[in-house]
Amino acid sequence: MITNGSADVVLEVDDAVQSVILHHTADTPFDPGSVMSHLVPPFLTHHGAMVVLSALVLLALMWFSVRRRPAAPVPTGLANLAEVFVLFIRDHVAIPNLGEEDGRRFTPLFCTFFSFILIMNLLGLVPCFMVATSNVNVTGGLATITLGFMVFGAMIRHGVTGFFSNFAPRGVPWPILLILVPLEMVGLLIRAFALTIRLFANELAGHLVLFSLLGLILVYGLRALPVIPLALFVYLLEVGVALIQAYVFTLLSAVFIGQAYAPEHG
Amino acid sequence: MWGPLASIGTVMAVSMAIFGYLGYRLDKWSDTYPYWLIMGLFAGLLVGFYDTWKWVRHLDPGAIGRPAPPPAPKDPE
Repeated sequence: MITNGSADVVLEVDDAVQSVILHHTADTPFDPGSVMSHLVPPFLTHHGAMVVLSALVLLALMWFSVRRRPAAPVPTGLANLAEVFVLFIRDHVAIPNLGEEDGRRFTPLFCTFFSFILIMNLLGLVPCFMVATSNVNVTGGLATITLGFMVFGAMIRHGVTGFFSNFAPRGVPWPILLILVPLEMVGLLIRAFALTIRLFANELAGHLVLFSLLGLILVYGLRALPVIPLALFVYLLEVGVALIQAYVFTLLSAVFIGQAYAPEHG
Repeated sequence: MWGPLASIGTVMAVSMAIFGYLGYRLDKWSDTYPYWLIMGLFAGLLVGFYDTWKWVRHLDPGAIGRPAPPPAPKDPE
């Protein structure tokens, strides 16, 4: 309850908790401070800043992992860790869904998807930072890249007529086609939209649960102290969710692009 | 191989949400609440079921339609 009209604005605790949760999850303009605020563009928001920061962290990590070490014949340290992920994406995500040749060609894209989403998810778990993938614009942008490959990549591969003929499977009687072709067309868009919503909803829901659990302490006082181990458990669960969602987004992108490139397998 | 199954539930929910919303807007526009909403929800359900059917056919070709070809008989030798 907010009472206006005088200087003594009374903000009840539950309203304060609500505003704290919103403040930590909703996107707001990024203002780093009086001196620094002249250096950042006015359209930059907190989530946008997290995307830029994640890209810089990823670039730095990759720089340290791939720089040449003539003394070491095999990759060590960070390069060894990066190799594990890259080989996993290539051998278990890209090649099974796209075949040997296309799989190798698409491995850099899927590695970028995986590592970028993973870094954004994990940076969002660091205190004082925000999770960029809890913004539907970020996940929508990533899913648009997948949709672009599903549509324009398939058009380049099969030609425009070949792409549209894939909406009508062979050997189907024409009255069924009247239902089937719109279903296939809508299904293409729905799949990309489902990619967007899955990542966005998982990340946003996890953080909302975390902040809500901690907010119980403010509302109920010491009686709500047992939620601290519960919040810690949810936090650790979020680390797992960060990894799983990055993997699921990459895997489903590979499956969808693979089906668009080789529709006879789909 | 079974990873795509992660997609089925979300696609059904998302398609029902999108078509339900479109039906709701159509109802608002034509003042026919709740008929378009119900039709939209069923259309979303149809898209979701079609997606599920496609995945099942893709993952287990013998489950729907034509039965899988019988395994080749073993040579007794």
